[in-house]
Order: sequence, then structure tokens, then C-alpha cells
Amino acid sequence: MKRLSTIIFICFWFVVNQAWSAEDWYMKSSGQLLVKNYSSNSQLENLFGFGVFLNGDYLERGGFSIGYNFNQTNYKSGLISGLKENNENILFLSGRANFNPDQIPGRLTLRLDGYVGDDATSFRVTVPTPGPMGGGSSQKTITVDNEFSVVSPMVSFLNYAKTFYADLGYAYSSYRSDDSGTDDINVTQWTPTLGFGFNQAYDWLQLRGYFIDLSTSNRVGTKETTSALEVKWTHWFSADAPLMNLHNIRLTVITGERLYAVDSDACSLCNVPDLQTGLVSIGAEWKLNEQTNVLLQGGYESYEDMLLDEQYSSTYLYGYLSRNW
Amino acid sequence: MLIKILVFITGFLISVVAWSAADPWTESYRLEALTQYDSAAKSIATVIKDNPKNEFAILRHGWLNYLRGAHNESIRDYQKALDLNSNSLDARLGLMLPLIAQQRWREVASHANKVLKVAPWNYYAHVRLMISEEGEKKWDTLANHAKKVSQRYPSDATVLVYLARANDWLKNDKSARGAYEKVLERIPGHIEATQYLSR
Repeated sequence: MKRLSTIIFICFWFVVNQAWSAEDWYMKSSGQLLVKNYSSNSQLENLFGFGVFLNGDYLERGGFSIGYNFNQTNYKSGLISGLKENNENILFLSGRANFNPDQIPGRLTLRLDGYVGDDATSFRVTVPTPGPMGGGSSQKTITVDNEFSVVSPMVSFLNYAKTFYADLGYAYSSYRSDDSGTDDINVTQWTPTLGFGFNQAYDWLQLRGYFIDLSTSNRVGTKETTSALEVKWTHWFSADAPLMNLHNIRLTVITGERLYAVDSDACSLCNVPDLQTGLVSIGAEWKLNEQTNVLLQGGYESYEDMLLDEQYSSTYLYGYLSRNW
Repeated sequence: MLIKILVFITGFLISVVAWSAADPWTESYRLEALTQYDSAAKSIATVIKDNPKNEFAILRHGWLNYLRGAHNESIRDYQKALDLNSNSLDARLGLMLPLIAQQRWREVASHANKVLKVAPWNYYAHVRLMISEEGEKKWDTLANHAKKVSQRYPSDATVLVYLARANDWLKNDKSARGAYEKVLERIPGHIEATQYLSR
């Protein structure tokens, strides 16, 4: 809570220290849907999620983003553990400020993201009911709550020619559980990133390393560190593009291991306590007009449940619609 | 008598030389012509030190800072000039130059539109607005804009280049070709137009 107050204070300070003009604000609203299906997992069935975001940029000087995400994970029916579903709420708040120092040929951006959220895992349990004939039993749903917060500052650089990008991101995540049998966990993450533009700005290649340290917790077994490499390639099309005037296509590959990762591009948390061991996704974006964009993405992920010693995978579909105002 | 005249002439010459050497305006123009923008800016800075509200000195300091690549200082100068005289189109047009250098396209567009509110067909504001539209890859907007400005300034090649570039990106080859052909009529040997037409 203290961290959130700090974030809000910094954002407030940034806002009141500018001479704002309403017509110089560039606003964008967006919504997203996520449908995920798990396979080879003895417990997880599927996931449904949606989110809404509002972005505001004051000219090129800086901006803010606020967002809300809801995810519902459904478990297989009839599990001995009684697991039923998990409902997760995530509030996202971000502020950024741009600088153009004369000493370097590009733009520096300082960004601070904050996430706060909770999730509730519900179990269906059978409880004995007392009675004159020895009693019986009835089913009851109990929930276990988790709370989490993430603070993630980042410094980035993009050169004016838009051929080179670099950033260094840091994230500190803290997960707390109401269940006394589940340990709390703190996670620190460093994400150095390099990006390269080529083919006359028609192509962009981005490499991001994830270096994650985990505190000791029974959530993750003996795992203390993970590292992964994310490679993203985006290709933009010119005006006569195929497939209903496609604007761009993108391919993402993650290799290595990630746990409790914070994705600063997607502004999302990967907070399933299972080890992500790979990801491949492809996406296509259409610019419907000057204001409206649509993105469709499909992907395959592989995971390892370290507590059950089980490897499983998921396939997902993701849709994103944005509009500039 | 002759001695008196010689003393007078010598004194006059010395004072003229001393005055011209000390005149920061002359010095700044001389140094600018020699592309010594840093020294030229320092020369004008002395004027501003003596009179911090000298609007023209501040504008000139902004221009020289822009030339020497001190874009943030240039922005501060032009903004200071704008604070002194909010009606100044010179300050707003000047301010757009370092903003263009820093690729702050939205800020360029914001200032260009403010100029165009009071001077609807100001050539420099339109050209700088077109630069920002190109920077933001607003090809439809740029094509329509360049076409309208070209009707107002039919002899101008720069506007035609933007019209051609926008149509090239939009894959309107016929329109792009037509615009580049007109560019070559105005500037024979224009490199970009020649390269496009020889494809």
C-alpha cells in the first residue's frame, strides 16, 4: 500500500508540474480478451480474461496508463483437492516522462509501473453435518485469498533514426496469501532489452532477457532463479498489404524459464506459480482507420508444475481493440 | 593644424574599430557566416545579459543554439521569446525547428496549428506541419494537406515532394509519379525525384 501511495504521489507531482492544454492530450482507449485452454494438466481446465486500458500522452513529453484486468481460471471438475476456480483482479497504473538530451541522438524515457491485485481461489469441500443418526455431509465452497503488488521502473532509449532501442527494466513483486500453509514470496526481476529496426523501418527485432530471483517459498519448491530470452519480430506492411490491408504481423518466441514474470510490453503479470518453459505466438494487426486498430494473436505455451512434477501446455487466443481519440 | 587633423582622424578611426569590434550583433553575424555558431551565440548572449527582455536577441540566440545543435537551449530561448510576446509568429515558427530535430511531431503540429489559426496559409507553418505528418506516418492526411498547399504555392517544389512521398507510401503510383515530374520541372536533377522516376 505504501508503494502504491508513492506511485500515486509521483504521478500527481508529474501532473501538477506541467502546464497542460487539453487539446494537446492524445488519448487512447483499448480493450482485450484472452481465452486459454490447458492440456496435459491434471488440474487446470481453461482461462478467460478481459481487460480495459486508458492511455494519455501529453504531446511527446510524457503520459500515463491505467488499466484493469480480470482473469478467471477454471479447474477440472471432481478434483480431490476440491479446486474449483480462481478469480483474479489486477489494477495497473503507469506514468512515463520523455527527455531529449542534446548529448545523445535519441529519446530517453523514464517509466514507472505499478500493479496491485488480488485473487481468490475457491475450493469445494465436503463438511460433516451432525445428526441423530450419526450425521451426514454437505458441500461448501471456501475461498483462499492472495494479494500481490508489483513496482516496476524502467529507463529506455530509442534513437531518432528508430533503428536502435535499449531499455533496462526492474520489477519487484510481492505475493501474500491468507492461507497459512502457503508461504509469501518476493520476486525481483531484471529485464535488459535491445531492439533493432531494419529494412527501411519495415522490420523490428527485439531481444529481452528475463533474470528473475525468487525468495524461498513453498510455492516454487527449490527454485531460486530463472532466466529466459524473449525474441520478438514485427514486420509492417505498406499500403497494399495482403489479408484485408494488414498493418503488421508479429512473432514472439520465449526460450528458457520464467516464473512470476512481469511483461512491460503487454502490461501483464505471469503470476501462475508454474514454471513457463517456452512460448511461441503469432499475431496480426489491422489498422481499420486512422483511429482504430485490431490485433489478433494466437500462441502456445509450455509449463512445468514443480510441485506436482508435471509438464503441461496451453494454447491461447488474444484479441485487442484500440481507438485513438 | 595638420597635426590636429591627423589626431582627429586617428581618434575617429580608433573609435570606429573599437566600436565594431565590440558590437555583438556584427560579431554574431560574422561568426554565423563562418559557421562558428557557438561563438556567435556567446556574442549575442552578452546582449541578453545587458537586456534580458531584448526579444530579437533572444530569438537570434534561439536560432544560433539551433544551428549549433543545442536544441534544448534553443527551445528554451524560443519559449522565452514567446513568453515575452505571445503574438510572435517568428518565435513559434522558430520553436518548431528544434522540435523537429528532436522528432517531437505532436508538439510541432501543435505550434504549426497555432500559427495557422492566425495566418492560415503561412508557408513555413504548412511545411513544418507536413514534416510532422510525415514523421507520424499519417500518409492520407499528408497527401490531402500537400495537395491543398500545392494549389496555394504552385511553383514550390518542397510541397510537391511531400505530395509525392505520401502518394508513394499510399501506393498511388500515378499521383506520386505526377508530383515527382513536377518537382523535376522546378528543380531539374532533383535527386529524390530522379531516383523515383528511374525505377
